[in-house]
Amino acid sequence: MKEFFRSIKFKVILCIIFLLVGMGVYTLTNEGRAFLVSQGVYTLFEPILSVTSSISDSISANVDAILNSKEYYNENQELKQEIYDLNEQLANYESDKKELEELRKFVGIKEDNPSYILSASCNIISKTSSDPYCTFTIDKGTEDGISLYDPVVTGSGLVGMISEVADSYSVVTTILSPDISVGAMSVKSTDMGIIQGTATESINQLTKMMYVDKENTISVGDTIVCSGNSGIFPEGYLIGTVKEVGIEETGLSAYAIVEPFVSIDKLTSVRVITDFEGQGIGNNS
Amino acid sequence: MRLKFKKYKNIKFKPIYSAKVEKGRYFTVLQSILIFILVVISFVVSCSGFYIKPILFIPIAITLAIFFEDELKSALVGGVCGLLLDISSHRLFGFNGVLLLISCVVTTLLFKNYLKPMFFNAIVFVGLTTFIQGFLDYFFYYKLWYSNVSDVIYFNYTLPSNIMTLVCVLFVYPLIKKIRTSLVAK
Repeated sequence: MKEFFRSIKFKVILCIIFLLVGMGVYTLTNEGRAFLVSQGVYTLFEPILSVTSSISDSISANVDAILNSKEYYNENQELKQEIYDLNEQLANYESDKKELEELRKFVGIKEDNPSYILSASCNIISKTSSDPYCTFTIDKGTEDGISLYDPVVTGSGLVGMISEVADSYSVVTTILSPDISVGAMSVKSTDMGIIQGTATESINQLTKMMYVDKENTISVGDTIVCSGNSGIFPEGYLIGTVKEVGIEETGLSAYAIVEPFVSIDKLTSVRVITDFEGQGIGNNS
Repeated sequence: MRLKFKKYKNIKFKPIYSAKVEKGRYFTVLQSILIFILVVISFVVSCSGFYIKPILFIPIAITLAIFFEDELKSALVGGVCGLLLDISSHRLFGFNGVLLLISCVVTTLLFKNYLKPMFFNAIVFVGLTTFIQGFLDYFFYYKLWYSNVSDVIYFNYTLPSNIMTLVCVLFVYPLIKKIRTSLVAK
């Protein structure tokens, strides 16, 4: 074995190690822009990944239906009960009218905001392994008008933002991750906060609204939307509903656990808002 | 004494061993193609499916390192597998590359000089590499940066992935052993 450490092979191996470390340092300084080798590999494998991704999505959907049939049955029963309760509420016109008007305000956001420029539908080609925050890769990049930090959405609500971009693909960091902060606001009480994921909540596909005023009036079931203060996310875009409210351990502020409207772990395609009114204006965080 | 080969003067003899050498080259190319296909499948698996899945690169790289006798080849295979793992898991480019490269070189050195290529040894080495990689990944990507991260991520994501990776040795080791031992010119 001593001969190995004196041989040329060992020196070549050391050179390879230094080269890899150098590439890593270069990648660190080049934040947001994918490394050339990564771009090449993804470009090469994109057709295969698209096919395997759609196959695995259909398999996982079928497996999920079989494994979680009981959950879906229970959820179905709950939803039926909820529909019954809502129908009862509708019978009481005056009290429901105000709630309906408020809901319409936010359902109609896209219709009221023709300034949104959406990308073409982006398919998810890769899901980052062992990632608790459900980071994924889409098949569109700078060639399709997508830029770094563009918000990623579906028709149901906000998903996240572009954290790494290449010519033909982009990496999306979701709102379950602590790496991104979204200025948020409650529709009903107009209390403001910051949506930022945590490890404990992301396991249950939930996120956390932090730095809420202790004197808030947020309640369970409230709708949370983007406040638009940062200029990164469009104002008024749906985020989720409040599941739990509490006071932080420090006692200085309150928090709310938010369930996103979008089932992030079950996504198959998304859209990117490449431009909107107010983008870049505000305190970018 | 000079041997006379007048009768066979114009006939050019082909050396007997060249057929074996050509067959050996053919099997080497075939082995390389099969290993390349395995690595491609690993990359596709690591990009598709669920968020918790086995890291096939590790058992493939370590098992190949067990059967390789050249440290440089092990280093190259380990480096390539590690880089592909970095790309698929969106880690810093070179993080897993360096890790797997060193693991493969150490594995080759130990198996060349001290150990026998056995299934139990393969499980031990794959297990060590997997759990070291998982721990370093958890430590540098979650523990260091997020103070409120408990062991939740490690026990809910990293550990199940590591266990799945270890189980994959049951399939990967016999397959690679078959490729390396049967596709040899005899």
